Amino acid sequence: MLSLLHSEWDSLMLESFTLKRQLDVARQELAHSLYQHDASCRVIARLSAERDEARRALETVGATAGHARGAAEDEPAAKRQAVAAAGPAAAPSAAAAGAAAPVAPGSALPDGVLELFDATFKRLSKGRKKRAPPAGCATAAELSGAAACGPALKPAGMSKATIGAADVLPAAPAESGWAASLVLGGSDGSMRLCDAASGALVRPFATKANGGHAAGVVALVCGAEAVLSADAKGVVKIWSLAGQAEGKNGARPRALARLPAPSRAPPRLLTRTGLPCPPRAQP
Amino acid sequence: VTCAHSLEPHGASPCTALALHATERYGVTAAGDGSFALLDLAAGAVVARGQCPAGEAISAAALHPDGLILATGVDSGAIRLWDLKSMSNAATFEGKADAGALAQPIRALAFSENGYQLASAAEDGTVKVRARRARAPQSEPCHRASACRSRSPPIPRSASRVACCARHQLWDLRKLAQVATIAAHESVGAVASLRFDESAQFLAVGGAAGVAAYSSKSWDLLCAHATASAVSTVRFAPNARALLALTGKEIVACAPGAA
Repeated sequence: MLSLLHSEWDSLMLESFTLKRQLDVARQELAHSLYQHDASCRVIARLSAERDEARRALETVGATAGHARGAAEDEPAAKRQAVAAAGPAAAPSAAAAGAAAPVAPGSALPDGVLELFDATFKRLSKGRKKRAPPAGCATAAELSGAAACGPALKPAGMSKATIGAADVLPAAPAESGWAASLVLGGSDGSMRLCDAASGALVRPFATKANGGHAAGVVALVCGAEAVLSADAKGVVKIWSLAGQAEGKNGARPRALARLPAPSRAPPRLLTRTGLPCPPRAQP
Repeated sequence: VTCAHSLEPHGASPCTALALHATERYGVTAAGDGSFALLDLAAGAVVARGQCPAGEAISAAALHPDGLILATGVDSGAIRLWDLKSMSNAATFEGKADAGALAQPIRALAFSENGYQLASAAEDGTVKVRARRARAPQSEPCHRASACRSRSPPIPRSASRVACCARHQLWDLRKLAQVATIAAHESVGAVASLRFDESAQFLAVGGAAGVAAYSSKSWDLLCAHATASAVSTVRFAPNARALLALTGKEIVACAPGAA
């Protein structure tokens, strides 16, 4: 009986010994896999840091490329080709940068332009708040009072074309009544200057066949010296009004004399600086 | 009048908006692919470029009268303000902010000539006016409100209000908050064009059914006129002596007083 119990004890002890050994092995395996996990985490962290660095580098490269492109476009020669090449090229690079950051900053401006913009800002923003409306300016009562709509005028010379875009030419205000000149861009690509009160053609800029847009004009903006127009095909034209005054051609200045004012009017800048802020007191 | 330059600043993508800088020596073009470019008008060349996030098509653009801020309206209804000097996004007015309405493409943007307000018009016919209040502290709220990058300079103190069309919204640029939403008068319809007069007293709105003028302080309707066809462009004559509306084929002038 005793020997039976003894052998039983022996076998139990043996079993517990093997179990302990198995436990040790399992522990070792666990430690090993934990170590492996730790190492792979480190590798992942290092790789993502590298990726971030590469993205930053890409961004700076994109910015400098944009700078170089801007500089290249400053060259008057081969300007069109450069612009044409830069147009499609700019989009993908900007899109790539946009993927890395929510809003990618564009290329910075040259120093000369920055100085000019700062000076303009300083000059124009000064006292903008304290300006009063000019003496001749319409009041709210006038505008709300007897405002009457005139007849609809068809601008002269626009047979089938419709008005694609238009803007008012900044000019000296009329002393009595009102006068305004409109630059009209037609759906036929033509550009013309019209008198807003009568619809009469003051001066044609261009027709489709004669230096105008090949497609319909979709956007237009006027300054005292320049007019910008854009057509449906992506072509932007810059029109110069200032050059007209010194036209060498004898016929031109006379035609110009019929213009309400572009050359004689104070530049828009001056008009703007003299401009007032909203009324001082209003209920 | 001579065509000094002809260029394609955005390649094949057509320009959707143009703006002229206060110096009149530079202009901004914006395109449906979300890119915009600063042009040197004398040289006829692109000076700098900027890009909206992918998938945004610019539908309207306006330059602040002081010349340092560009506002672009996109098809998703958001308005982005750009610092022109660094061509970086200084602030964004989200399109969905108002009453859970679906975002509508921005049809028109106009800065007031006093520089404090920006009016925007969306396709659903509202005009919003946003403004920068004069009292705002120098700590620029735009840093909080927007995805400003570290170097992005603050919006200049005298920057403006923005308005949007269809409903017109007006935005305060200093608080970067919306000042007013003007439901377009029934005689205006879906707003297509916005313009402040040069004294910044009035806001003109032109839409599918007619034109209207609002006071730019109280936002009261001053006058409204129905037109036979949709108004594409609305402008003030010098000194706000007349309201000019352009429809597809015609010019309609509304002159106040007996003028």
